[in-house]
Amino acid sequence: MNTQLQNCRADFPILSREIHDQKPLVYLDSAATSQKPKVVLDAIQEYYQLHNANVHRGIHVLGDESTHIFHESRQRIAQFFGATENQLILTRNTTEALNLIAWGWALDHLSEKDVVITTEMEHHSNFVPWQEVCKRTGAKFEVVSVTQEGLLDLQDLSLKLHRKDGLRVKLVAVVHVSNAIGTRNPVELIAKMAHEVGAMVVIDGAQSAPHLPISFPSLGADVFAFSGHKMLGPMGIGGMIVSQHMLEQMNPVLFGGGMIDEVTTDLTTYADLPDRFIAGTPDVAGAVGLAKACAYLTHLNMNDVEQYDRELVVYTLEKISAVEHVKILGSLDSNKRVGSVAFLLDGVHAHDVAQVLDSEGVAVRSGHHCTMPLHRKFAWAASTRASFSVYSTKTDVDVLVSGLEKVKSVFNLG
Amino acid sequence: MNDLYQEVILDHAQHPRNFGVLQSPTHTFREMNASCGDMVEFYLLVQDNKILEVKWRGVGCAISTASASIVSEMIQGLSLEEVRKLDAIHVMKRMGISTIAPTREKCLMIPIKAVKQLDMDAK
Ligand SMILES: Cc1ncc(COP(=O)(O)O)c(C=O)c1O
Repeated sequence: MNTQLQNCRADFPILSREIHDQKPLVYLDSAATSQKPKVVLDAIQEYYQLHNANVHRGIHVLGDESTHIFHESRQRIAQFFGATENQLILTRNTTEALNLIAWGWALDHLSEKDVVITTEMEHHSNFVPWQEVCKRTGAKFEVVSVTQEGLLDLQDLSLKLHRKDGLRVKLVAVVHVSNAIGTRNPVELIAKMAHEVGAMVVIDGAQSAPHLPISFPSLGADVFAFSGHKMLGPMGIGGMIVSQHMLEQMNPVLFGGGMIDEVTTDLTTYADLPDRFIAGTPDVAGAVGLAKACAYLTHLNMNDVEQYDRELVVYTLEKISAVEHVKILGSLDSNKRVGSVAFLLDGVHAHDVAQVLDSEGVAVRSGHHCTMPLHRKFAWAASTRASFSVYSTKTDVDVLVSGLEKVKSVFNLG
Repeated sequence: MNDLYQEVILDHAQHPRNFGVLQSPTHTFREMNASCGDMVEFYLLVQDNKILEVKWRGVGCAISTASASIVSEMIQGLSLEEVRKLDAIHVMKRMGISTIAPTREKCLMIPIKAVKQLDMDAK
């Protein structure tokens, strides 16, 4: 691990907070949203204090600065994913990005003769939009199985791609890294398999973007969606990298200022790609903050970030599986996991686990983590998840493990 | 500290009262909290505006389980008007707590909402 990464904890002001009678905050809920380094907070503040003006409008100094800063931020964000500014559509978050594909592309390209494929391990954000657009267009909605180990069943995917019913697969939507069980899916392979039958490929990168180096061209997908707030950036900004092939087939969903070319009372023409997908005043400060987060992650080095995450996952799997009455969800092979470890504690509901952990200063997530189909399949009422970011440490995991002993004593589990 | 996990709550959570089903209930009410996977189902035998028998079953956290167990005891023998007056404060008093965090309020309320369907049912 490099020294920047080793020492980065000090860059996150919130981590020095104490809670519940001076217990240090142990934040293990970074998959829900990450904390933000001071450089990101400062960049947002600086934008509003020195440069704030609307973009692409006023012919004045601030207008020019703001427009320049916005473009520069967009370039940096795109670059972080190995893409260019004209492939980036900024949105509020992953959910909005996926919906733009559902309503700006799928709605006009699906019929009863078509199929959309997603998987059992999807977050609701990469499941419900497709389910809904299929309902409205009559397309068939197919869901690929997850194996007992918690991996995608690629054989099942293959069967669903190479169909015998004469229907055509138009879209495959799959999560890169599962937010519930941490599974890292072979998205490059999946993209190849899907493209062989001519389907578009959408990757939900909400949980991979914070932990893995991403090169959009090597993924081979048509869409890679992400949320800024999960990758050290502010809430309210996210986006997607979109292939030219997809961009050319998309229609705007939001209409109004900013996205037009010429407006007359009879007819309106739209701005060039991808500007026609940005209607209204954009979140410039959000873009500035996210660009700074990308710069910060690049400075830490994404290869090292990935390596360090694996170290934490290995350590957590080892420590938590040694706790009696605990069952780890998902694969036990750390090479197949990223970012988090979720588990069940025999006889204690996840909410109660989280509540007692909170009293020890440990913040975890409990519930179904927006993956109800997966929880239902395995009959997990709810689970508890510890998730990491660059500032997480093995000490955090140790506090979690002793917290679990506390939970067991409160609920009289030997 | 774990003020929430009072002895009463733990006792009811680990030894829920009236747990089970009624053979021929006059009313069955189900209430769910999809966001945490909690579910309770209440079976009531109501005659002459009075709850004669109560059973319930479900899955949930300690708070929702204790709440269901306590509610099942509280409503035994009550009239419709009395069920109408039942609220979170009564249940919390029985639990020995004075406040509940907003994130746990739903857990407390699921059983209360379930039996309050009796009220709506009658209108
Ligand atoms: C895998 C995955 N997809 C999508 C989302 C949705 O992200 P957002 O709420 O930022 O739109 C999340 C967030 O929890 C996630 O973990």
